[in-house]
Amino acid sequence: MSLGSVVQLKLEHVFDLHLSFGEEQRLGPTSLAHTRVFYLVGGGTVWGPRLNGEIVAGSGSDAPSLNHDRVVLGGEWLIRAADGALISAKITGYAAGTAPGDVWRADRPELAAASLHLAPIFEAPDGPHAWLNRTVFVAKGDRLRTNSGMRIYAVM
Amino acid sequence: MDTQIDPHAEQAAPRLEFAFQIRIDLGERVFFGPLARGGQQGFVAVQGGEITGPRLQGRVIPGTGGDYPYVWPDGTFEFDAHYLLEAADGTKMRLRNHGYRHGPKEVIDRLLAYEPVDPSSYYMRMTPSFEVPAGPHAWLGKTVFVGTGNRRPTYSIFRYWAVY
Repeated sequence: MSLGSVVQLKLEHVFDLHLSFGEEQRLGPTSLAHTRVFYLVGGGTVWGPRLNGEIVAGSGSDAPSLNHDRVVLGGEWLIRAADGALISAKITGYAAGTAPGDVWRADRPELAAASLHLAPIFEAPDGPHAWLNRTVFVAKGDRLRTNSGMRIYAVM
Repeated sequence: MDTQIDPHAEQAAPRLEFAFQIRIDLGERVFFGPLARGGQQGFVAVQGGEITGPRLQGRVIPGTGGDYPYVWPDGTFEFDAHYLLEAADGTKMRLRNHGYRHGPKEVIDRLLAYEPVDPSSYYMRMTPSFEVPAGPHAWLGKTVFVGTGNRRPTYSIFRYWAVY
């Protein structure tokens, strides 16, 4: 194998997430983000070839920043795997394919759907889930006001 | 009441589109430790470099940052880099890079000695993110990227793909 040989990256589907969200609360406009929107994570499911379990109700929040030119996603909450292990999920990424300021607009709920492009980071205890700590992930999904679905891929 | 999204619904797998590669010229690599929490702290300064590829061309601005990897007690490298880029049209932007490198000890030892290593024999993947002014490069600040790297004695080459 030569030094300059090029790796072909592969995306491996590892699991899906479904989250439900509580009441919407808005902060701003601020100087950092046009508006920041907070939702308490109400729970959810984790299902797939590499991880199964549930999203712990009330364990964190989803808090997108609605900027003038982009929507930056940020969320952090806990997964409880089927074997009982707690795993933290930190979500970063962008809402794509939406016009500036259109998502999460209270006055136009029909626009409150977003296509998500994410790079999640997980923190898991030693044991069968430790691979989550040292793997790069990307995800795609959809977001409505009350719930969200994402398909998670390991970058291999 | 909203529709419930079905996360298992059939969807096309994300598409990876090669965007650009960055050659980063590096200073001396420094490590110290063990840290109080275990593991080692590393640092290497970015001394310049070149960006080539279909979606971005330009240079790495010398002296604007580096990589501050944390070496876990088990030897896993966690990359934590930031520095500035300048596109060919003069636009400046900030790159942050986070990722991991790990593999069988004998492979990593050969890699650290700059011996030829089959890139599929170890794991080295990262997700860079960008802070970019409005204008023709703004897409960099709204796109998820993945990448991999090739470590050489005085430089590293990182190749990045946009995720669609």
